[in-house]
Amino acid sequence: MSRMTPLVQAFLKYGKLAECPIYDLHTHPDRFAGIFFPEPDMDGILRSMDRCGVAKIAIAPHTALLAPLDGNKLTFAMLAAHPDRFLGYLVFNPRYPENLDTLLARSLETPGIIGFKIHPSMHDYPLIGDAYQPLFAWANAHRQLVLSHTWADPRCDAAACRRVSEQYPEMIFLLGHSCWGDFERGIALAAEMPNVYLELTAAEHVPGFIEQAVRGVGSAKIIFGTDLPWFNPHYTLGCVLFADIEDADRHAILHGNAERILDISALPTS
Amino acid sequence: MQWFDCHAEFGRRAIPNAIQCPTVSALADLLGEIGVERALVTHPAQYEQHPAVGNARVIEEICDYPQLVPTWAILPPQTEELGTVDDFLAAMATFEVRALWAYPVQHRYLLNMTTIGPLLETIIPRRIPLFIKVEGERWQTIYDLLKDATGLRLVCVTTALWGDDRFFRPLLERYPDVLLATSTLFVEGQLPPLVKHYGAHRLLYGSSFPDRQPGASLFPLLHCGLPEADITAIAGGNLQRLLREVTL
Repeated sequence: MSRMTPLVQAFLKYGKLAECPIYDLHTHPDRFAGIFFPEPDMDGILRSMDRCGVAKIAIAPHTALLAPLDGNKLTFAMLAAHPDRFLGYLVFNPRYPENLDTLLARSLETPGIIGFKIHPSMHDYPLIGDAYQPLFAWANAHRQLVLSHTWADPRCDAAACRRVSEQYPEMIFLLGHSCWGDFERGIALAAEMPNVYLELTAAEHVPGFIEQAVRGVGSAKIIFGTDLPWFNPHYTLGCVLFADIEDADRHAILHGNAERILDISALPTS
Repeated sequence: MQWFDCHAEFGRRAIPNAIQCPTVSALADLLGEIGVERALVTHPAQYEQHPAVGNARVIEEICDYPQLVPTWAILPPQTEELGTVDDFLAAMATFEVRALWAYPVQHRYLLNMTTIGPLLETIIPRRIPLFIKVEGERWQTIYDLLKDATGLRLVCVTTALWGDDRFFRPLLERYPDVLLATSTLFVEGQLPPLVKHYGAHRLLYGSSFPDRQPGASLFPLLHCGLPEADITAIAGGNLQRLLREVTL
């Protein structure tokens, strides 16, 4: 099968397509210590989205990953400034469990907040640790979305994700990076559990992974993400476009699945 | 605009890559399908087995594919596994090999003037580009080498998933003959400031196939907002010029 379908050719020519908007559910605006980003602020992020045809992104700014509670203020500010382009995760750092009640309240009252982002590796705290359990119980009760960093790391590998998803089956669980390095077990988990999804950030760079994931779990369980500004949306888009899959799969990954699980039409507009 | 990939590989690796092209014809087909007209190619035998084997294999296998351009791997000349420096250069001239690769990690040698100086002293005046993969702390080796290898035309192919600007920008600033392949310049918005500060002539389009998806590597350059002349230069013009300037 030729990779150069009309969809791929159109993207190559124009760089973006109105009939195939992109929803990126894994981004981290703002500066970061270990890496230089040319344009990590809000305006730079918007320029990137416009250039690449990204309709909406879900944000968890670096500040929020690192600074408990206060860091989420940038999320609120960006959502308020551009409610039609930005969705938000609140970041919960289990090292500061006393903040959880405040965050839970804010999540329900703030338009555009779609769930929580957690990072067991960065916060050096296992997914199955006690401090995360109230968050998962809440997400399970309210059918809310949690995006976790997942990796071949005992704190957040596929085995840990399995324990959480089996205990909280109603929680919509995005496996950020698709359990990078532990791909087969991550795919098996997403195939088995109805509310577990593979999220592509960085995983899409691994040659053959997208094809493997589509074969293993079906494109309806795969969510597009870039870690923007870590990765150029056009490169990650290209990984999806040039994977050996069908155009229907590409549409599902780039926008259809996000539209479905977030009910995009019900979200705030400017 | 002609796409000329500076870093593509054909052949089977010991540990297969999911999208590798086991044969040269498969690579030629793939490049044709995605619209890449030419490529500078390597074979895994050059770094997995031995340069003497792999270099010969590249020449032998691409002979019917004029769009594929050979590169050879180097070794420290002291062991004469590839003959003397004069022998090596004569063979390069015979087979029109205009670019070299160094694999110091796989071949276990130190990339410094003590080791490869006798070879570099020959290739530098001939303007033969030397390619190398590098990331993280290994940039220190490049810093040390360039202090002594004045005028070396070195093409760095970063392999880091994280952006390495803080490592490579000082080199681009100080050494005008250092270039970068674009294959792993993944950071959003990375290309335009590099062109602004150092010039489009310092960048070469590369796919790093099969470690990276070759079609995907077209996008960040095509739609990065640079003037068309810069994109054309990076896509292929710079590499054509580099190879044209080589004296064999």
